Amino acid sequence: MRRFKIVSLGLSLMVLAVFFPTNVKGITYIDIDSPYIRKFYLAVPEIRELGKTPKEMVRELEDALTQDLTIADLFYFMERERLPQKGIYVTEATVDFGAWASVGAEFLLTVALSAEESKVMTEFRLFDVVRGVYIAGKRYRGPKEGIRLMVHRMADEIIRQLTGERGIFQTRVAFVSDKTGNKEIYLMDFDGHHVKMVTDNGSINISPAWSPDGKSLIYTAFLRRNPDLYQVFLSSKRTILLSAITGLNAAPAWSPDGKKIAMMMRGKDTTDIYLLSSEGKNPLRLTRSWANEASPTWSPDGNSIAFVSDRSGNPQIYIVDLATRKIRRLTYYGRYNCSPAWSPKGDKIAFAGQENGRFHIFTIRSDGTGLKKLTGEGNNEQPSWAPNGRHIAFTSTRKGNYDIYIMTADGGGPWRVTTSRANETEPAWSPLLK
Amino acid sequence: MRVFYNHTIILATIFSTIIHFFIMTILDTFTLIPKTIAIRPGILMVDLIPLEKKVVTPKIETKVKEKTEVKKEVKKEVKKDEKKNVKKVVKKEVKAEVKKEEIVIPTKQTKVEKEKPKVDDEQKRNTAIEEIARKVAERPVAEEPTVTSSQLEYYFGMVREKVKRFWVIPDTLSEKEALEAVIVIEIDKDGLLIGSRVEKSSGNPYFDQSAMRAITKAAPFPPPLGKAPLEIGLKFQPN
Repeated sequence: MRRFKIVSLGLSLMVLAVFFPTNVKGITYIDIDSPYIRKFYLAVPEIRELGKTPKEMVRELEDALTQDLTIADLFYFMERERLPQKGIYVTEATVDFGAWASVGAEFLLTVALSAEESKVMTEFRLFDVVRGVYIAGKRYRGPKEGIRLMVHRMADEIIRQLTGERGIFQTRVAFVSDKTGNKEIYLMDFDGHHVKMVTDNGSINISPAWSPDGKSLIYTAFLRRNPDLYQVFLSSKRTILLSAITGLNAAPAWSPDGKKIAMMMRGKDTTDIYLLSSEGKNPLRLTRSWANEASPTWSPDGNSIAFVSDRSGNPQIYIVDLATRKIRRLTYYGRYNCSPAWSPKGDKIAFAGQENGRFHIFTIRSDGTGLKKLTGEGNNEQPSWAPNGRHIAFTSTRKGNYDIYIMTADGGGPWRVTTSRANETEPAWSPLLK
Repeated sequence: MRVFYNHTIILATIFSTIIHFFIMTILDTFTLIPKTIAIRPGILMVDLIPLEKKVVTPKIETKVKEKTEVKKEVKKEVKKDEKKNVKKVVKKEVKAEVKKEEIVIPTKQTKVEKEKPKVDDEQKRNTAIEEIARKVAERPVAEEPTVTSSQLEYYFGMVREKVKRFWVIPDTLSEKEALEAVIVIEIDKDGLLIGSRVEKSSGNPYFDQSAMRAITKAAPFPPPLGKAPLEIGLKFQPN
């Protein structure tokens, strides 16, 4: 009997050794997989004003911060009534992690603001409530008018501290507006503030596209009656003529390495995609067919270009591999798919597709799977990706005239960013700006 | 002749056990083997058997031991049957407990869509599961001091499920390829987390932090069955 006990003990230990990998120190390893993919629970107590700070200023800061953190699409905001402490500015010396954890907060963000005459000082502290760690804190000082910019910087810093990704809150969007009666190109912050005119020539200016360094825009203008390609440097507004080949120089797209420009030009009878140098020289015909090709967009690795072609009888999106020149069709759904935009992450392509007589924004993976409709009301066209690949700007008629909206890459939002009575179209989201 | 035959079997089994022990002892004590080889990454990939299948109570173990004289096949069959029964019993118990407290245990992980945190529910659910787990886990310790492999497996399964339930990553990390972090935790005799260290970083600090948060939230764990404090390596891998 005793012998058998020993034997069975030995056997069970052997079984154990087989089932659970154990290293020399006798530690058993367990696989942990399939995490929840969800937003973080963020507690943001009311902004604490230090000294005599005007109420409007607090509200402006509050609104801008809420806007940025909402659009970031990374947080659930905790109800303020349920927070354990109110109206305080928590510092690493005073933080009580237990109290915040008990209401379910995963992160805690506290913000303070003080104003002295024309100067504003604002600072934040960010805590990981679960681990009980102070993550970061920063102080910003600037003129009163710069309060939104300070908030954008703050939001970018918070995103960076929590995810390691660079935020988009200091990026800009170029777009076309007809508010002067002509189509001119404008610039605005991603949230629609600080609108600036880029072109002011009374002609027609369309299709703005960013250079990868974010310092200049290329666009098509009809200044000399022919649609020519121009480049404008944003710091000096110096404008140069890049390409003026008779016929068409339209829908430009800068390659990710900045060395080439893909553009739609007129071939013999139809339009084709051409590649030019970044100075607009040496046009090289990329597509050859009896059909029309338009709207090129580069893959982020610079190896492929997606474009629109009507070779199947109606406009569909195709992808050409630049090394082999092999072309494959990407979209089969619907009879009219146009304006492709390749995500900076590389996985998806956004485009406008017609469904029941209206255009909607769709995304599709670059292998042709995973078609997803992102919009519901009105006509929605001309998608443009934010540099983080998590947001899309587009133009929509859901409130009557054309306005620019932004949404998350899975259709969350959308948030309207232009509100004028004119038509705002062709948003082009900038790369990350320094 | 027959006596001789029986002796051979017994001797062979004992010798084999001794040899196995000997090999394991050598492996565990040979300090000259470099660390990198010792961790044997290939072995870490072994998947765990699902939780329910491995529930065993001490009753069966003693029964099985009494029947060791029976031929191996019979033994196996009996074990299977007994296991099934016990599985049922434990399942029932869990179900009953759950019903009592009217708490839903999610069978599948679903995305949290609600805007308000359901912390109360989460906590309730966890304490309930914990209690059941503790009850089941305590039984073997009380009646049978030797910890069997299936009991240990069950224990590790519980730790795994518990940590998993609290592991949250933002979508910015979910698309990153091949992130993997190994964190070693130390659990004392009451199940309290008394230490943790990153044994292998994923290279992405935000990913490592999400794993640490899951562990902190999941603690305390059920009390270990055997020796305490107990060290467990948790290998976090999204897919």
